Amino acid sequence: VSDRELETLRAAWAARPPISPGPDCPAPDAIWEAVAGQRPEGEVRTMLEHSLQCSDCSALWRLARELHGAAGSLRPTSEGDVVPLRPRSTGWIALAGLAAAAAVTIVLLPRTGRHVPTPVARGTDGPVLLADPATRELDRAHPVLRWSGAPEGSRYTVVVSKRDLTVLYRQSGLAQTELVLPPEALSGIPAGGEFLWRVEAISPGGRHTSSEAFSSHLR
Amino acid sequence: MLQTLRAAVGRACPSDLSIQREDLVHVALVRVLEHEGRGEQNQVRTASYLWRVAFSVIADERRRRRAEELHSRRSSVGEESGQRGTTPLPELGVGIRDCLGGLAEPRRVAVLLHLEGFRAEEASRVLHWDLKRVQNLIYRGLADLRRCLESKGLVP
Repeated sequence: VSDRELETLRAAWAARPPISPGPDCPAPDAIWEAVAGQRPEGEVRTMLEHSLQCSDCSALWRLARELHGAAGSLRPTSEGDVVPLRPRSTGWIALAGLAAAAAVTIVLLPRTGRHVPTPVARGTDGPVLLADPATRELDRAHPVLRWSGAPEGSRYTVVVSKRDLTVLYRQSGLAQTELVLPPEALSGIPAGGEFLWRVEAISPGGRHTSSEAFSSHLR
Repeated sequence: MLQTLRAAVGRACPSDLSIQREDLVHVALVRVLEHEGRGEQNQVRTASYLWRVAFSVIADERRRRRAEELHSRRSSVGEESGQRGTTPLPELGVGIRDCLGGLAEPRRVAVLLHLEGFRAEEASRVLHWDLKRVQNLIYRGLADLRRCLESKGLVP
């Protein structure tokens, strides 16, 4: 089978008519782990037999493979399957010996002081959006979300969702650091119930910042 | 964390879901926080875990959409039925499926993975089989597949 034929076969395989996903479809996590080689052989074979009939799961196998590659977790050695063997270069061996000698020298040098590692804080290189602590509990009749942390003149988008991830309300283009929610947006939340919200800010300079998901309860 | 999630969702998001991209990032973030809340902090802060969550969120959304689309399509199947079969690729795809069904199981799964884009070394990792064996199964399986398609008049 030539490369061109293989390309056509793959395109045709990907273009199979869609079918509705059913209860037999494996969980996405199972496909993800199978692609990483973390599922037993028998289970993988069963999952593949299923994807033979299920174009939807078949597409997820392709997607999982692509994402594993993008995430760097598979680290392919080359585009092809065969890596040609070459005679070792003695020049590299000499260089490696010199590098090893240098490393030993550096390690054995006396240290003048105790090295204190500098702590690295991840994700703090931009403004951090914080929820007003008062928003932990909100009045159902007048629920107001407030936050801070973005530069003056920023514009905001707020997304509110339930715990089951259903989006309840979304508002873009806000100029103020507060949003009065329409009470009907929270009508599905029972008294004492919880909902989540997140803020995205675009600064006057165009910088995009997103908050963590904040949690609030309704009184 | 958010940047990694956004990158992963952006990469995984098909074009028909691109308008929902930020919502999906939000969903992925909530899912990570939920895992973290269950005391899985050691697991959830790795980049590979975030990619996995992004995949899972996109997969769930795709399946939900697919089910909805097919449900609504059933009601208008008469309008589309005239267009079916005019594109050769889906027809060839069905032929491939039928031919794969006739292959011996080891050849079938090896060729199946190859058709999904997996190289032999990747398929070897997935199936826990020796690389040489996988290469051999793919080679022979593709030859079988080609013969079968030709017998059906479906030449790629």
